Amino acid sequence: MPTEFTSLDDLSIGLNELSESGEKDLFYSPVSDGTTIIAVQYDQGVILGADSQTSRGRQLVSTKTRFKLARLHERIFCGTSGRCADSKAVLEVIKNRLHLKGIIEDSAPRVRVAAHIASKLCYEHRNNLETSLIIGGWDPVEGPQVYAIPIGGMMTQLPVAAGGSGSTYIYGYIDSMYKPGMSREECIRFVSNCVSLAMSRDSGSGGVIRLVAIDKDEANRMVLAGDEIPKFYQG
Amino acid sequence: MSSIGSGYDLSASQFSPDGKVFQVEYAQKAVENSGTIVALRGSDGVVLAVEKFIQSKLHETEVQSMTRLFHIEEGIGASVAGLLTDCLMLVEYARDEAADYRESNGVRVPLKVLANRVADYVHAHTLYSAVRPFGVNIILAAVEADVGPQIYMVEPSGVVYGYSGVAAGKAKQTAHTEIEKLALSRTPCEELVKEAARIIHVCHDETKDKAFELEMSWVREGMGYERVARDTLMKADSYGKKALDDTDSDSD
Repeated sequence: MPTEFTSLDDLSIGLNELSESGEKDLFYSPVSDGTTIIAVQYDQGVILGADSQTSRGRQLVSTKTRFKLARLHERIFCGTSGRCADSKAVLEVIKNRLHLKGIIEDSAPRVRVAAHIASKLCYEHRNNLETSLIIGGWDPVEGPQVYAIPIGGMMTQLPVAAGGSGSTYIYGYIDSMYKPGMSREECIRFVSNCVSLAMSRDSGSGGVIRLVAIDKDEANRMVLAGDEIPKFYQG
Repeated sequence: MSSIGSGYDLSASQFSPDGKVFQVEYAQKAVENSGTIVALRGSDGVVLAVEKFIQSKLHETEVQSMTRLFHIEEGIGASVAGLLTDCLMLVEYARDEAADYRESNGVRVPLKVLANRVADYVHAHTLYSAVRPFGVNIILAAVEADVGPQIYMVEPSGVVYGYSGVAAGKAKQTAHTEIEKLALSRTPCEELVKEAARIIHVCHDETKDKAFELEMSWVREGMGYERVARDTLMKADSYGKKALDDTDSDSD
């Protein structure tokens, strides 16, 4: 898994110019996901999609290939946006709790339970956290589910949810193109298109498109890079 | 069948030379003195029935004090045999654990998890001299979304098993023989209430035991936990009495 890093050489060249113009946000900004994350539920399963860029301030792309779709359990994945450190911290806690729960209760944890634990954490620590989650997965009790947990910790179950800075640019596309009853392939195409469109308009989103397709039988990770990324009007 | 402890039975923190914890065995005796309870798992739910001894003619049965059937959580019911006050403690524990689970996890506690928690709690009371074991058999029942109706029973030693049908108390052997004759998995609860009533009547010993009242409740798919409605209960009760009378007259 790629780690976040910044080349100090790159930074030192630009430091003086930046402080003169008063823009300190490059050096002092925490690493954050200007991000696009999206999840959509279909009959048999869930498709999650995300871009792969993290930035410091709005000037430095610190990682081009980050994994923003984290595995919480075999059939539960979570897309994160917001401050990277906060996302990581929350994800680790949820992952550990679900892992233990699965062993003690001798059955796969439910997606609803994962979302509830996440929501509780985010709400209880809402004053210290800046992270927004989208949890998608499949379980034998309720089948495929998508839960959105924006900043503050409220949990909502939705058939399609988008988050991160890039999501604002694609709500129109989602509203016009999402239809209930889409097939797995249609959902994959829909999610890829959403992320591609967001990446081309949001400076905070970019890199490759990461996808996870979850159903009863598998959680399949996919990547669309370079020419594979859907092309649209480039102006 | 039972051996005298003679010195190794003073506290639960001691084993006897032949590997028994006598305090747990004595706790099991307390359960055997109690009225019989029966649980039957049908195709669409679980029926709980209790042979509740009436201590005195002055007891007001309408207000259902001294009941042995309890609502633990939405869709989870329990019946108890043994020392009633010990039973009440365990019921409260089960209720607290179920509520706590829902608060932490956002969903109803799976019955298996609840049964294991209650079992751990009961077992903890068999380890120390400072406390005594629970003189209780508690039966927990629910209909689970993915696996259907379930029954678990916890014993004073802390063991817990899942069952398709089970009994505890005075006449549990008689009850088990009757339960084994039933085709439980194919029978709906509407039918099983009558069978449960019949089994309780069969178990009741007119000569030795006090007068009793039949108590029944059930958990059913989509209906949650409910006490069996009065008219259904009356019908099942008369079916039970009649079946017993028929058997009696057959044996002439």
